[in-house]
Amino acid sequence: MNAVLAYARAGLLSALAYRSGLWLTLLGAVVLVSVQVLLWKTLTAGHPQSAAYVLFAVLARTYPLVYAERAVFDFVARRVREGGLAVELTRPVGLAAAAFGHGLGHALFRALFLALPAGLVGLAWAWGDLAGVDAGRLRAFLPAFALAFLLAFLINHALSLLALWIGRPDGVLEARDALALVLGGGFVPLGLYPTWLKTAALASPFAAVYYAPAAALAGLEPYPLALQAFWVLALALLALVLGRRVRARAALAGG
Amino acid sequence: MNQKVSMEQAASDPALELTGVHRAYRVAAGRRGFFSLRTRLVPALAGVDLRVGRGEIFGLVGPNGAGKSTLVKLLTGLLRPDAGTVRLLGEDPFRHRRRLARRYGVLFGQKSQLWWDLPLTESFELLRRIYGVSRADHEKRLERLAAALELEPLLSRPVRQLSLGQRMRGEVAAALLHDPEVVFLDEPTIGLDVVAKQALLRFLLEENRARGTTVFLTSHDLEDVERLATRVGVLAGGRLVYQGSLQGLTALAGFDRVVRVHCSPCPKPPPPLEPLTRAQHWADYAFDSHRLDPEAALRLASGPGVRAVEVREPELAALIARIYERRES
Repeated sequence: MNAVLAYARAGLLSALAYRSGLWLTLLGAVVLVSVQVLLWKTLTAGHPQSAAYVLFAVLARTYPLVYAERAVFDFVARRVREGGLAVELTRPVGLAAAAFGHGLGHALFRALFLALPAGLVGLAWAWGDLAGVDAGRLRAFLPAFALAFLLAFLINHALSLLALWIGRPDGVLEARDALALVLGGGFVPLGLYPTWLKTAALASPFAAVYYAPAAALAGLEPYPLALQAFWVLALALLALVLGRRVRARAALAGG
Repeated sequence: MNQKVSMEQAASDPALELTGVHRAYRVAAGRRGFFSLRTRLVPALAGVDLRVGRGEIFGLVGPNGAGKSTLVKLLTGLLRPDAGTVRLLGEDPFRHRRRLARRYGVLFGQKSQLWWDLPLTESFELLRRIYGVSRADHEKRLERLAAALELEPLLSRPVRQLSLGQRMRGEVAAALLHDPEVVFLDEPTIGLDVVAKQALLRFLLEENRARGTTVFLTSHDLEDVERLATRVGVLAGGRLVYQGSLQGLTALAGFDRVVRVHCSPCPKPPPPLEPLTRAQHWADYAFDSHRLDPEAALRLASGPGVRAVEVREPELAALIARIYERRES
């Protein structure tokens, strides 16, 4: 546990070392969340679930910032590319635990300096739409968010391990982004999808990451917690299987 | 530590031990189709037997591709042998990698274990937490390492702002901070200038003497090995062609002295002198001092064009080059 926290500290401090570039990222996030809120307010004006859709738009554009997906992905992929994975494997800590700690540090940085300010701006736009948020919804949101965070880590860690086989996995990242956009339900709530696409989205882990927590807090059609837990277990198993092959591959890829 | 003691210790209480170790890599050998590769097996190590005793400094030398890094990866548990057994501090390093990682330190000369964006002191603090070292022990150890490696003025600087020599001193400290029983140094002086290299080697020798740390050193630079190692191993083509004292290398190379003849033109050497190196105004000849006929030496010294003759001990590089040549022929 101490080792994981050490990696979290390293991740946080490393992110802080480059904080001067943060302002443009924050500006982008604020613009995006503002546009989304105004768009959904216009599109759903007069709809009985208008408030839920607007709140969903705020949440779905802000909390995924906390996942620090690029940092998690880069932890292994960059070391493979630069030949430094062997060093990581000589430490008394598992690679997945180290990557998780690293991601946790970056997540904390992004939560404080990106998601929180962007979320506050979004909520200011959507102030009148918060009336339905109660303790029950918060209780549903917290476990959904915790599982989504874990799942986002597992997906990105498993994808980063692919670097050991394919070298430069940039194409994998693009495929992930496209699938997350379509199947994640983060841009458009799953309830508005045609039935076949909604079924496909529910059968993918992406909706569990991007849709489930926002839907729980906004009061939209909930994503089953058990299905989220299933995806966590499935991806953990995949990461474990890939992780077992790491040392054999790292000897070549790690220089 | 003298040669006899280290050999006995290696036999009775080895810090690391390889027995009949074979390891091959599957590497790409061209394309079969757009997505598929043709592969072939390349042997990296073939039948390596090696023991290094606790507290010993063992130097492993060999040309590029000889299998030095593969050997270090086997010993640190990154690789599993295809055949044979590997033991580090009595345990299988592949099976018990994480537990053993607390007991060994590694320095890969061309890779960094420090956090690039953070001050050196922060990297050390992170390593303290990762290795579970108490704050009191860490402070004591860091004080000693910082003094010995002259790191104090560098501690607050981000690693990316350090020169190569400064960073390497930081890397050495990082490898030794958790007080490992065994330390693997893979090309530790790569890229260092002469002064930095001498200081580093001096420190490693002191560390070995003061704390009994076993040092396993691999290097291209034979001077490193000459300065530090009590025993050496020579890897060639994945085989350990020699392990023993530096002196024992001379027997394998077939010569123990070199005569430098300052000459112009240089004469053809009488047997058993063998040509070693030739420059514009001098030539080196190797010979076995037990077999040299004094008459032949006199003939050489009084030959036409010879201005001076000096006899010296051979450099390690020359001995090893001769061993490689002999193996290849």
